[in-house]
Amino acid sequence: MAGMAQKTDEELVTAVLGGDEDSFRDLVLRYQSRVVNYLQRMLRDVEEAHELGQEVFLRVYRALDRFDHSYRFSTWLFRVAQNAAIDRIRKRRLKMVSINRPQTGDSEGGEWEFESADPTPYQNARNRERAGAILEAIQGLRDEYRELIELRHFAELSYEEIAELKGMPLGTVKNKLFRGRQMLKGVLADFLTD
Amino acid sequence: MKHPVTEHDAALLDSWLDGQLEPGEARALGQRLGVDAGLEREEAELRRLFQAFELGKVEVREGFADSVMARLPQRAKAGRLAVALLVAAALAGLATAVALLSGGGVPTAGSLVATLGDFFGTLLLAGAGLLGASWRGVGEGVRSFLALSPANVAIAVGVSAASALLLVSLLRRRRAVAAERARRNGLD
Repeated sequence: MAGMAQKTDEELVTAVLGGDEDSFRDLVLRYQSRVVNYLQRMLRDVEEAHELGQEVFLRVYRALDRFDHSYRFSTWLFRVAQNAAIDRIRKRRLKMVSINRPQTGDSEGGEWEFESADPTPYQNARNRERAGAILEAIQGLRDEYRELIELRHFAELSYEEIAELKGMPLGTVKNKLFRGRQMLKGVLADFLTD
Repeated sequence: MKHPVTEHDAALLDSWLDGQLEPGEARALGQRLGVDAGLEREEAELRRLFQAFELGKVEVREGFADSVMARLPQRAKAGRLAVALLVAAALAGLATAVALLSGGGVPTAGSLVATLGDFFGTLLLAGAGLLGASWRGVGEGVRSFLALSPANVAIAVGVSAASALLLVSLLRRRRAVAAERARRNGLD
């Protein structure tokens, strides 16, 4: 049934502007995980990613009547998220946070916890080790590769969305993602071979 | 001995695992994987890399969307409606007060509208008179200033030209700012 089909982002935006506030909840639910994970990658702080993630959605809501429908909503949303994260990083520039800080597991939800189908303690430890290593390796990439890797694998944007957001040709996005992943594979060789 | 795969094959595998390969290319690659140990090893490593990205992700806290919704400001439309209602109420109050003070007894809806019409009509005429008088005053002042000396004419021309230039540059700057804002799609 056509009426039951999931609304597009743009349809939801139009509905919100028409006074249907619940449609904004649908947008939040649709993007919350991607926004928080993207911010978490940029800020390297789960708490802060949640807090700034809420702020990003509020900014988007306030500016919704200025949304240019010739852009994709997702591209716009992640541009807002990117700008917000960059502002936040600038503000705390002197307060360096190490990615290797001890994992105490006392933060709500567990910072590097992830769902796994009944993992053994060894698998858990190995996965945690891999997660820490991949995040550190991404951080070590040059900005031009790191940004695209984050947008692809944490914000889960399509190649086309990344090209629009970064103002790059599609071929360049594809090439840089390939190069970035090859670099990561080189750095993480020990973790990727069993 | 481990044989490295070619860059072309590595790029194909990369595209395949990222869901970017056409079905035909994917099928051909799948067939080669079964017979090429080096390619298979490369595929396994890359697959682990893609899995590792997932390991770095976090779960969004429960209630995240509820918190956002609870903090949403009222849309401007509601604000504009409130202002319109306030203005309407003020006008009605004003008309009633004017009607009562002018000794017309308890006003009817028709008399309220007529009173408001009278009130704003008078206000408009008074405003227009004041404006006309002001412009006449400015005109007189400028005429006297220009008549004093030929140098004053030059000064007046200079000031007019500078004002025009300033206006043009302000308009240009405004347009540039608007273009930049549009480029960033409406957000600072």
